[in-house]
Amino acid sequence: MSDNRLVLGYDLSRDFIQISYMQLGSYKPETFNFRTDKELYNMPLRLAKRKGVNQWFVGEEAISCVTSGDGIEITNLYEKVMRGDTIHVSDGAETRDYTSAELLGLFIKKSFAPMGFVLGGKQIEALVITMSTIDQTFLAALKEAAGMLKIAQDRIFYQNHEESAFFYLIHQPLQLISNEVCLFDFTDTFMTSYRVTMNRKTKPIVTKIARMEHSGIRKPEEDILQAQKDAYYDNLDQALLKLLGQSFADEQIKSIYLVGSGFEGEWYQKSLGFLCRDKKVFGGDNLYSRGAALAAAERISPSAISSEYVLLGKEKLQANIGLRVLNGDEVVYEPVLDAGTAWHEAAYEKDFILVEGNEVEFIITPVMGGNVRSVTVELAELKGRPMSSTRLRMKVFMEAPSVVSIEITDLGFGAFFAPIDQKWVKQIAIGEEDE
Amino acid sequence: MSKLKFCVGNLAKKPYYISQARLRIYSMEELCYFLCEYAGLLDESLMDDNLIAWIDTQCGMSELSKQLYQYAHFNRAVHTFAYAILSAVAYRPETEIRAICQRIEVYETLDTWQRKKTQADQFFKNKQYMVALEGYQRILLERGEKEPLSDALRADIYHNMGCALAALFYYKQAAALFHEAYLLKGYTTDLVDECACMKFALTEKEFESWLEAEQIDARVQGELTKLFVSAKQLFEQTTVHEEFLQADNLIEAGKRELYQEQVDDMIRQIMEAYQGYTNF
Repeated sequence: MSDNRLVLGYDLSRDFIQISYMQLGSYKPETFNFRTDKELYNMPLRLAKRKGVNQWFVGEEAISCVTSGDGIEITNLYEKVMRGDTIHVSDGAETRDYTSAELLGLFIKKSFAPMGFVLGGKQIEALVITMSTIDQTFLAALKEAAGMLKIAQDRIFYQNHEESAFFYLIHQPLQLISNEVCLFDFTDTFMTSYRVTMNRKTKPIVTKIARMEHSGIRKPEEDILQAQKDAYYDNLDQALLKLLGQSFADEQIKSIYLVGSGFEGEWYQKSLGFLCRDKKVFGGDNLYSRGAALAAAERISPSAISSEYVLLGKEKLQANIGLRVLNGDEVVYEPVLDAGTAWHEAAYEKDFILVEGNEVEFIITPVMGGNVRSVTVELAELKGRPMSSTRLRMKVFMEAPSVVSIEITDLGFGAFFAPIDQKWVKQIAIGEEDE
Repeated sequence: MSKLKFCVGNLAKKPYYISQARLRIYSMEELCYFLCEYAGLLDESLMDDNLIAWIDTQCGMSELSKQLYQYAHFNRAVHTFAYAILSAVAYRPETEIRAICQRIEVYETLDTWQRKKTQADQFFKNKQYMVALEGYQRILLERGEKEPLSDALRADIYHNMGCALAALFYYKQAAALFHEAYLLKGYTTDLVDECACMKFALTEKEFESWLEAEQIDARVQGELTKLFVSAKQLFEQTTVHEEFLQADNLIEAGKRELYQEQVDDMIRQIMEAYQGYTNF
């Protein structure tokens, strides 16, 4: 029964979080409003501890607690997690050190508290946490933090904003995404754009998202004088118009998405006028969290739509990696890692019997053209064993976006042949020829 | 080009003990290896409910275990039982599996003593020399009491026992058995093997005296020389010989520590192999 089952998308930014939720199978995510008296979809990323007691507050409650003098704030939590800091909390009555991951976990757990009536009685099937970029240090902390949630760890996934945008877009009507799409993100100080191209000549449809930072388009300083604001925004509108003119010179882009608090207000009328001449323009703040919720649903129960597309980005594996293996008397292709897998999720582990020879050959097939190549791991120390009397454990994983690591271990063959004390390791650069 | 195949079933947390071979197995592939390499040992005791249960619960091969249960309780043919396992795992090409099962079928038709000899030969072939010796001795004693063994069979047993004892460095005992085999069958090779064992057992001077005392003729001595030359040539093609040369190079280069490491490793391997010969 799908009524009871929800998936969640959690957008974690430097300054705020946002949560979207969706009934599994509906493909209609909703974004949680943290206030009943007005629209407030973003909860500030603020954490505070009440002095003298073990009571913590998040978001606006944390701000109130600190403002009233009752609490101590954990400032710059996001940056502290990035650095892996140990955070020293002293409120006069108690002094204690916390890891940044612990406090991040506390924040995330408490951020779900206001959703009691939405989540109550429901089964959370999956959670996708999305961020601007996936950093290895932050990811490790995030995984530790997510361990504090009452959701099975194998049902919690992590992806960047590009991937969340991808899942959002593929669930849009086809006429909106049949040409190139452009997304302008003005959440942070500087604008970022994402140009989405979908190659509909390939099967599945290979989607690439090119990200660009625009240092010339920035929000005004917070302390800007009112008198200067109009002029600043006027110049900003001009700068944006110029950028748009350059971006759309080839006229491939027909749909535009404007995301982030930087697009609040009416300062960009000229730019908007330019866009609306021949393009469809959409605005909003919740594209990433909704995309993350859709991604969560796809993880658990892939739809026909998602199987038509594959996203390739710099955080994705750009090639299919496989082996040729005997299945009975027949040689079959065994997929090891699939193109489009996020590098931090790429993992494969399986045992094989080495029938004959002493090497293992991997086949690398780039998905964006290029030659199919093979990479061989020599197991030189394995000699003298009869046919089919060696059990190998093969692990394949990625520690960085374009490097695949292979580890092969001899498990021996029970009482017949003891394992040799040897692990064969090889790294393959994807996107470059192997040496 | 190398070939890989998928493993079938799970790696067992608890092994199965095969009493005929005194071995523990942990996977379907190890079971198949046993069936292929120890075909001579196989008899009805293979079709054991405990093995079938192990295949089901430890290896996760429920469908196969149901099939094997039928064979064990209604068919009772060892070669059919073995075929089902080897095919399910696809351990070897189909033609090889059939050939192995045909051998097993032949063994099933042997009488008790022929089968015991085959089993002892199997242990001998797999270098489980102590177990093989035990098997041969039992045949000589138990079968010998009931009805006389033929000279040919006795000679074969003595010869194999001699080889097993020689591998275990019991040269004088091995020489005595080769001598008995020679007396029964008259094969020069047994006489040459006797001489070879005595050459290892005695000093050079003692061996010269022994040759004279036994009146070993020049032809046999010539064959002995050829045997040692041939053995030396074979040895020089082995990896052990290569390792000896490497060790020599290390000592010549003054790398005493590395030399010691290499030699220690070689000795350890030889000791481990010897342990395998003597395991019960």
